[in-house]
Amino acid sequence: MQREITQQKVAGAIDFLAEPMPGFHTATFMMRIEGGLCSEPADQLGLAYVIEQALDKGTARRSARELADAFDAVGAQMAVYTGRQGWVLVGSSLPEHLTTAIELIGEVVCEPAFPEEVVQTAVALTLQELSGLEDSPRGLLRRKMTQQVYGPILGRHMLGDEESLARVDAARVREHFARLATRSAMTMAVAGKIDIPQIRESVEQAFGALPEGERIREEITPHFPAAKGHITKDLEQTQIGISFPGVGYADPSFATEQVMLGVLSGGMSARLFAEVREKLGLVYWVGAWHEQPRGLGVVHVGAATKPERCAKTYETLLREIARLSEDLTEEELERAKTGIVAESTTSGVSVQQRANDLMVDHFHLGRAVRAEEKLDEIRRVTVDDIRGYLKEHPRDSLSVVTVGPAPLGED
Amino acid sequence: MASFIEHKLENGLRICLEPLSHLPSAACGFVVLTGARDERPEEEGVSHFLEHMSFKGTTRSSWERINQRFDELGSKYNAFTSHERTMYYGWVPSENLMPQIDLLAEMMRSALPQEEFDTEKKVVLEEIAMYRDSLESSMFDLASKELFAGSPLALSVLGTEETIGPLKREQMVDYYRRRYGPENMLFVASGRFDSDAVIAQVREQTAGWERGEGGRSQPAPKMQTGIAKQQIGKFKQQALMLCYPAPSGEDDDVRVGVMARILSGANSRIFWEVMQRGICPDAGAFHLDYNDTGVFVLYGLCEPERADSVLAALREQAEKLSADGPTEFEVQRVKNSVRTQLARDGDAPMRRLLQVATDVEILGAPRSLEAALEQVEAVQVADVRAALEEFPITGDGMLVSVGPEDWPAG
Repeated sequence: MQREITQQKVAGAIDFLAEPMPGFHTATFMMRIEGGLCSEPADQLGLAYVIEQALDKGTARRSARELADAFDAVGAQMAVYTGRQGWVLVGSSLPEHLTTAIELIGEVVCEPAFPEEVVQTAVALTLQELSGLEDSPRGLLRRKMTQQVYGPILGRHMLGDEESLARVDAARVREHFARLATRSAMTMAVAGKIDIPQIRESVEQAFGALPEGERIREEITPHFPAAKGHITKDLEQTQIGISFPGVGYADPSFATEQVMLGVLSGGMSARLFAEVREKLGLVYWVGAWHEQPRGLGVVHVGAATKPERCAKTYETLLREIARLSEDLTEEELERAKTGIVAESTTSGVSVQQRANDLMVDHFHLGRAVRAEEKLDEIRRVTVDDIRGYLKEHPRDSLSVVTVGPAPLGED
Repeated sequence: MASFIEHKLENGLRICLEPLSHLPSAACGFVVLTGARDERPEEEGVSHFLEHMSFKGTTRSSWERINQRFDELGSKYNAFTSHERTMYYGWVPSENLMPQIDLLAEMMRSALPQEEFDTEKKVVLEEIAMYRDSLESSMFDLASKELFAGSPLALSVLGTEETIGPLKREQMVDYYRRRYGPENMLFVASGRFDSDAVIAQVREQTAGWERGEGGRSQPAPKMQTGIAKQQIGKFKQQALMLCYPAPSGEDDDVRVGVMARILSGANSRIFWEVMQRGICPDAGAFHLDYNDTGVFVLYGLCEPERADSVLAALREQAEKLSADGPTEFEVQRVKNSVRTQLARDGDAPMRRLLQVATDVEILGAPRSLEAALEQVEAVQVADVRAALEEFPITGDGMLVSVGPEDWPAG
């Protein structure tokens, strides 16, 4: 399906991307404000998430409830997410109500009230979530993996820490958000059943009054020490996480890494599932995934197993990571590519997914990319490309984390 | 939008198709009308274990080949088991629907190889361990055990180490023969396809299937009241559920769904009056519907010292809604939000597949998006009030509590 993508500046400085999807029955508006966890002052960790929680709880014109009622009056939904390097706001609605949703989101972003009471509730709830995280073995694993791999800035967790959260108040929230929420720091993507000129006009009206500002991007220093970390927890299973350097989204070998990951963990015939679960019955959960902060890439492998089988599971994971460069077959390559390409006609075909893809492409590449262009890159990947990738990116600097009754080697 | 094509094959298999021709993909699946409530106590967990085993080899294909074939089709595939059904599905680009049907049909006649049975048992035991490390799962496990104590609904879907450990392949074969007959199954598909060709393909692939016992004749389980609690020291939070008898899936009572959305979720009473008052970060309500019985649940996850406040706050909201009824706007906002949700579902074959499967299984017929919307649009404030009178959410009910404290005391 070839569809036209529009990319332009709106309201002078906002990057605006749009892709109409004829035949679809809803529309999504997504916007990104640069900032997020990396923008937090070092003594106020958790600030970005408190902003997420408090942002839609009232504006200069409406109380929190009036705002929620205004979205509900047209059946529109809004959500805010905190990321490492920005906040993302998503509005979804029936096509005829999208401009109303955009106007409301504009009000939220341009005139947030951040009342002290609301901010204090957000802080109190974040503290409770922080203690609740202790009941999520996978959540603890991910937090520790991230901290260990990325270091003190990129490795921040959105829930911050108790000491820092105690310092967050309405004045700090207002000052921080006002500094970052400028037109230059915003990217917007719209997809679905949309009328582009009408939406562009709504965006101009809704966001045009914001200061132009400048795009503030924190300098990120890559950080990847080989390390072993452990959290002792009374659990029935030990969670294992292994991370190694990958490539960034804009790297020419990114498509190769995607296919490599498909070979490792794309479907049930992929190596990790087949070897660790199906052949040996060592785990229920095993998988690999990758993530890309701007300009960086990391590959993660994870599994959970009973403590007495932890050493064997860990060895098997290491063997599979090492074996990748030894005996890759054409059939495996084809299956991995098929999985990625087919996804573009199944789960990839949604209004929200498409808006998200536009945002992600723009974040890393500075431009929107046709879905077909990216698929062609996947189709071109060969066995030799993967061998070359593995040679250029040796997996000899591993960051390992376990969460469970005992560290590796002591179970 | 779409209309449905329904068909019944000679062997008793029911087929229901929903064409969505504006999409490039199709999702399809077999629903087996069987689950934990159809198990004998000594085979607790066999439905779910069998679901795993269906991927582990047929007379024609090894497990490797089955997994490879799914991946060669570019399928998004999986399976799940509940108390009442086991579903296997795959979502593929439309041109791969026929081989996807072939593969799923072949898996419905698994060889249940002994060697794979032994290996997969370890995987299932790992899954049980994983859920025992989860507070939410521990809460649901205790709830389902106690809410319907003495009935087949009290059996755990995953089973336990004590039932899965000693389970033999022969017991699974016996269960399989009883429950996996075509008369006890549905085939559903949603997306872009040629309906006649799909029916012909399903007919061909299931032609030799032998019938089983099928069916389910059990009295409707009755919900218990009182307090069920379990102290588990390793958790940091207390999880609590306050449960009341509610309509069953067969009752198809849309008023209760509206009630749940007034109480729970974005812009709901619990959101504003419990969570946004800082009492706890995770609370809500939902309607748990089995085919022939139902439960309305109010829940919260909180720091143990806040359990009393959370319970009091949930009760207060339930009492207030019961006494005053909802406002006109509350009912209207739920309708608006359902309207958007249903429009989104019309573009999502996988969501439609699951909904069509549920409607056909429980109500005996599929329901279009338009019909679903009409049903919600018809609900008025007075209807919600009437539902609250028929199915009160005040009073004792059953309180379920899991966490580090022996709460409530006594």
